[in-house]
Amino acid sequence: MTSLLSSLNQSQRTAVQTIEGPLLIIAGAGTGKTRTLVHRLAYLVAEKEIPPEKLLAITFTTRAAEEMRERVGGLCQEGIDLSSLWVGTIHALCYQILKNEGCAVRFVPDFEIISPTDQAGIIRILAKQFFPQQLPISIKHYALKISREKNELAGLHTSPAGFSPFCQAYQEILERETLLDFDDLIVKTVLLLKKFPDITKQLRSRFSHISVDEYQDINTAQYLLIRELAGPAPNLCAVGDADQAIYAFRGAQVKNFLNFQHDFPQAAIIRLEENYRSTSTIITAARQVIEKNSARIDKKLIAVKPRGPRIELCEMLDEREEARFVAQEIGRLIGGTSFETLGPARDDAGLPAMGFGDIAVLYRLHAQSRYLKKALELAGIPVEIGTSLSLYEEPEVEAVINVLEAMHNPENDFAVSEILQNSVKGIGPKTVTLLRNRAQELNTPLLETIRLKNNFTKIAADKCAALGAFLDMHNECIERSSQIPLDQLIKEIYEKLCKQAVQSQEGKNNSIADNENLLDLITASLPFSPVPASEGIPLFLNKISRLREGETYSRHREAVTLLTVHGAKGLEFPAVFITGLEDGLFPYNANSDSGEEADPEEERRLFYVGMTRAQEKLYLTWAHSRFLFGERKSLPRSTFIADIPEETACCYIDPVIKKRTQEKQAKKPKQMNLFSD
Amino acid sequence: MNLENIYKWAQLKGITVVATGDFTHPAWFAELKEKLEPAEPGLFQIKKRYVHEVEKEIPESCRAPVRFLLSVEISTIYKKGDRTRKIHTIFLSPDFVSAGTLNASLQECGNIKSDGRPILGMDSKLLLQMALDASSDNTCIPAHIWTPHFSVLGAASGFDSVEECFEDLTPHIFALETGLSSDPPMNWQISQLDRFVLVSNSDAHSPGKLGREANIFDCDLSYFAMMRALKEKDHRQFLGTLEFFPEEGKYHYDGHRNCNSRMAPEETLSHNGDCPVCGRKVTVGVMHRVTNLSDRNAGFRPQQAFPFHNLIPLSEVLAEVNSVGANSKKVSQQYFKLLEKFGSEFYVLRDCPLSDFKQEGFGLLAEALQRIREGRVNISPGYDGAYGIIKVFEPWEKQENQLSLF
Repeated sequence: MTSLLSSLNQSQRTAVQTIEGPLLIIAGAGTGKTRTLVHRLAYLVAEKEIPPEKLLAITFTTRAAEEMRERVGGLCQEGIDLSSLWVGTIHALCYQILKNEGCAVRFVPDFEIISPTDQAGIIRILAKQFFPQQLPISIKHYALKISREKNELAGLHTSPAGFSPFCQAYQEILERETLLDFDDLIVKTVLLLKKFPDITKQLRSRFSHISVDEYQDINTAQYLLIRELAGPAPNLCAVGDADQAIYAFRGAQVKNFLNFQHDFPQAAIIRLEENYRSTSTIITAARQVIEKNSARIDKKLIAVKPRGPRIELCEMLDEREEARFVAQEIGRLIGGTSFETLGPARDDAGLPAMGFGDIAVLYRLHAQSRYLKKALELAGIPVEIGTSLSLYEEPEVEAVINVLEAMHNPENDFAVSEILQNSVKGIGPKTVTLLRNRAQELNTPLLETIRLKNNFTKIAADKCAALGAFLDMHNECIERSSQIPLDQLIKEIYEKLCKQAVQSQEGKNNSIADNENLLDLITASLPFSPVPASEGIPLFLNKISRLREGETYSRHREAVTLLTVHGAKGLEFPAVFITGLEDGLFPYNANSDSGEEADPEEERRLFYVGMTRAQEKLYLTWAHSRFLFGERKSLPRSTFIADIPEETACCYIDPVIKKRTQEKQAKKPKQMNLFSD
Repeated sequence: MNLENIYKWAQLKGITVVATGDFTHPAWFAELKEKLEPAEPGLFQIKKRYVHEVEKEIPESCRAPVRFLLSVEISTIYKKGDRTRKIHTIFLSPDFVSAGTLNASLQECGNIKSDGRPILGMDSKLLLQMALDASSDNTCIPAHIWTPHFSVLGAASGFDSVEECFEDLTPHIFALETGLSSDPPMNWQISQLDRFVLVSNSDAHSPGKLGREANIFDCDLSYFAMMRALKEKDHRQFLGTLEFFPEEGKYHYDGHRNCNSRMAPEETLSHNGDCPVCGRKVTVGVMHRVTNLSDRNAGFRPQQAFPFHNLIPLSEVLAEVNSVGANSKKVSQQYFKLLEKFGSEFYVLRDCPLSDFKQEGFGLLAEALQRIREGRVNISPGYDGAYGIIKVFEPWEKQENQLSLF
C-alpha cells in the first residue's frame, strides 16, 4: 500500500492518514485537494479495511461525485467492490434519505423533484400575481428569493407559517402536486432528522467516516444537516479554502468554515500549500490579489511549476473589440482555425498548440456571454456555455414544441396552458387558471374544455375569440400534419404563432431565415421529415426528450468553455480569459433592487478563483465602454488590475484605441494653432 | 456562388457532375432543397425554372446536362494523443435525408451556421461514425491530405497514417483527395496509401475556379455507380484524375524566401535542415512531409495506379500567351471566344485538335497546349510562402515569337 501514499507530498500524506476525529483540511487552489480526498477514501477502504458502505463523501456537484468515484476505483485493487460507497451531492443524499426513511414514516408523501421548466413556469405565474409592478420578471431572482427564505428558516421553524405570502403560495402549489424543489430536499431532511432521532441514530451508525468537500460554500441548512449526521464526536473531514468562498449570495456562510475549530475543539488542522496547477507567474499575481482581503485564514500558496508566460492585461475599446480579441487570441492559441486565420502559434510563450477544450472564457455576469458567444461562433470556434439555454429552452422553439406536444397528445394540459399563456394574444395567467379550474371541475383535459366552450360566462368575448383562434390553429395543424413533412410543418406553425403571438409585439423580425433558433429546430427535424409530419412528430418528440436528458453526440465534442467565474469553480484550463474587468462589473456593484448584495471581499475571492483556474496562460481584459442591461456604460478599469504585480504582466492595447489616441493627438496641435493665430 | 452560376460554369468548364459543397449550412441546404430535383440515383438537377436566364449566357457549343452531388467539407479541431489535430474531410450524400440526418447530428455538437467551412471540436473518427450512422450511403473522403495544417497526413497537425486517425473505421474510407498541393506520383511513394484511390477536386470558392482539378468517370450517371467505381478501383469506369501542378503551391519545397534559398527535401536533409544562406532552420514544405513518410523512391509507380493528367487553367495559359494578367479583359474575351468556337474548357485544354486552333489564328496557344498536353513545361516550385511558377515558354521564346508576328 506504499504506492497509495508514495505519490503524495508530506501534508497530503498526513491528511490521508488522519482518519480518527474531526479534521479540517485547508487546501489552497490547485494544491491537490480532490487528489487528497480520493486517496483518503481509497486508504480507508484498501488499507484500513473499512467497509465502503460506512463511508460518506459529499461533493459540490454531481460531476465531481462521478469523477471521485471513478478515481477511487482506479486506486483500489480490482476485486474491491465500491458500489456501496456513498459519493454524491448533499441533494442526492437527502433525496435518498427522504425517499427511504422520510416516506416510510410518512414525514413526506411519495414526492417527485420539480423540473426546472415547471419551476420556472410556477414562479412566472406567481410573480406576475404578487409583483405585478415589477416587470420584466427575472425568474432567477425570484427563485433565489424562495431559496434563501427556505434555507434561513430551516434552523428556526418547522411550518411554512414564517414564509412570505409569495413563497407560501409557491410552497402550496408544490405541496398540492407532491413536488419538492432542491432546497426542500435539504430543509425537509434536517426537519426529519430533528423529529425522528431513531433515523438520525441509524444514519450515524451507518456512516463511520464522513468527508465534505468545498466546506466553505455550505449554507445554513446544509451545515445543520452535516452536524446532525456527524453527531458530537465524529470522524468528519471538512475540506475547503476560505479564500475561495463565493456563494454568499446563495446563502453560503464562510463562517461555517472559519468556525470549524470552534465547533470541534479537538479538530486536527492540515494545510495544503503546494500548488501544482499554475505557473509561478500566475500564483505570484493571485497571491498579491488575495492578500488584500482581511477575513482569511492565513496560509501560503507555493508554486511548484516554474515561471510561465506573463499575464496579459488587455485594454479594449468596447465589448465588441473585446470579443473579437478573444476570438483572435483563441485562434492563435490553437495555431489557426483555417487557412485564412493561419498564423504562428504563440511562439513567444513556447506553448504547444492548444485544443478548444484547453481554453475557458470567464465573465462575472451571464449577460456578458451573449456577445462573446456570437463573436466566437462567427469566427467558427465551437463554444460550450455552461448553463446557457439549450435549443429546446429557447422561447420560440419551446412554443413550437408545445404545439407539437399538444397535437401529439391532446391531453397534455401543460403544453396547452403554456401555448395559451405565452403564445396567444389576449390570454393571460388569469384566464389560464380559470380554464384549468374549469377543466378540473369537468374532469376533462384542458383542450377539450376549451372546445366544449360551456360555462365560459366569466370569460370576456375577446378572450373567447382568442381561444377560438387557438383552436383553429390547432385543428389546421392536425390537418396539415398528414399532408406535409415535419420540417415544413414547423415553418407553418412558427408563422401561425407569429401571427397571433405575443412575440410579434416586440417588433422583432419574425422571418424564419433570420431566426437561428428556428433554423436549428428545422435542421433537428430533418431526420424525421421524409414521412408525413403526423408520423414524424412522435419520433421527433421522443428524440427531444432524450436530448433533454443529455443523450447527445455533444458529449464527445471539444469546445471553448464560456462560464461565469462562479461556474468555473473547481475547474482548470491551460488558458483562461477573464473578461469585463471594470469597476462595477467585476468587482460587481449590484443595484439596490437586484437583490444581490456585493461584498467587496467576496468579489476579490471570486477574482482569485478565476485567476487560479489558469494553468499556463491568463488574459485579463477590460473595455472603455460596454453595452449591458440596455445601456452603454463607461466604467473605470477594475481595481483588481492594479494589484497584479508588474513583473508578472504585460500590456496589450486595442489597436483601435491606439488609432483614436493618435488621431486625437494629431488634432490637438492644430487646435492650438488656431488659438495662437 | 449560387446554383445557377455553378450550373453555368460547370458547362463552361465541361463538368458533368458537380458537388454542391456546404450542405451543412442551413440556408444553403434550404436553397438546395428548393432548387434541385432528383435526377439519376443519388444525383440532382436544377429545376428548369431557375435557369432560363442563365441559359442565355452559355455558348451553344458548351451546353450539356449538369448533375449535382450533395457535398460538404468539414473541419475538425481536437486533441488526440495529447496533440492538437486539425483535419478537413469531405462528405458526400446521395439524398437529402442522408445529408439532413448528418446535419441534425452535427448541430448537436456545434455550430454549423457560421459562414464558411463548419469547424467542429470533435474527433474525425466520431465524425465519420456520425456520417455512417446518418446513412451507410454517405461517403467520407479525407481532404487535401498533405496540407501541413489541416489534413490527415499534414505535418503540423495531422497523423502519420490514415489508420491513426480513423482507427477501426478506416475500412470505410476508400478514397483520398490529393489536393492542389500534391499529385499522384507524390502519393505513390508511400505504400500505406496503395489501398486508397486518389481523387482530385477543385476546392473552388468561386464558380470560375471549378474544375481546377477533377475526376474522370466512364460509368453510369449515378452516385452509386461513381462510388462503386472508386471503391472497386475499376479501371474501366474510373479513368483517373486531372491535376494541378503541385509545385505551384506556396509551400511545396523547403527554404527561406528572404534568403532566396529553395531546396528539395533531399537537399534540406543534406544541410541538416539549415538554410545555407543564414544558417537558421528552413521552413519545411509539403514535399518534405511526403519524403518523411515515404518508403519508396520518387518515380515509383504502383501497378494498380490510375492515370493522371496535369492541367493549367485556360485563363492562365492565355495570360502567358498574351503576356497579360489572368484576370485581364483580353484573357476573358479570348476565353469566351475559344469556348464559343470549340467547346468547353476541358475540351479546349485536352481534346480539341491543335490544328483547329491554328486555323483560327491561335498558333501560339496551340503550341502552348501541345506542350502542356505532353507535360513539357518549366516548373519553379513554391517555397516558404512564395508561389511556384509554371511557365510554358522561356522568356526569350515569347519575345522571338512576338517579333516573328511582326
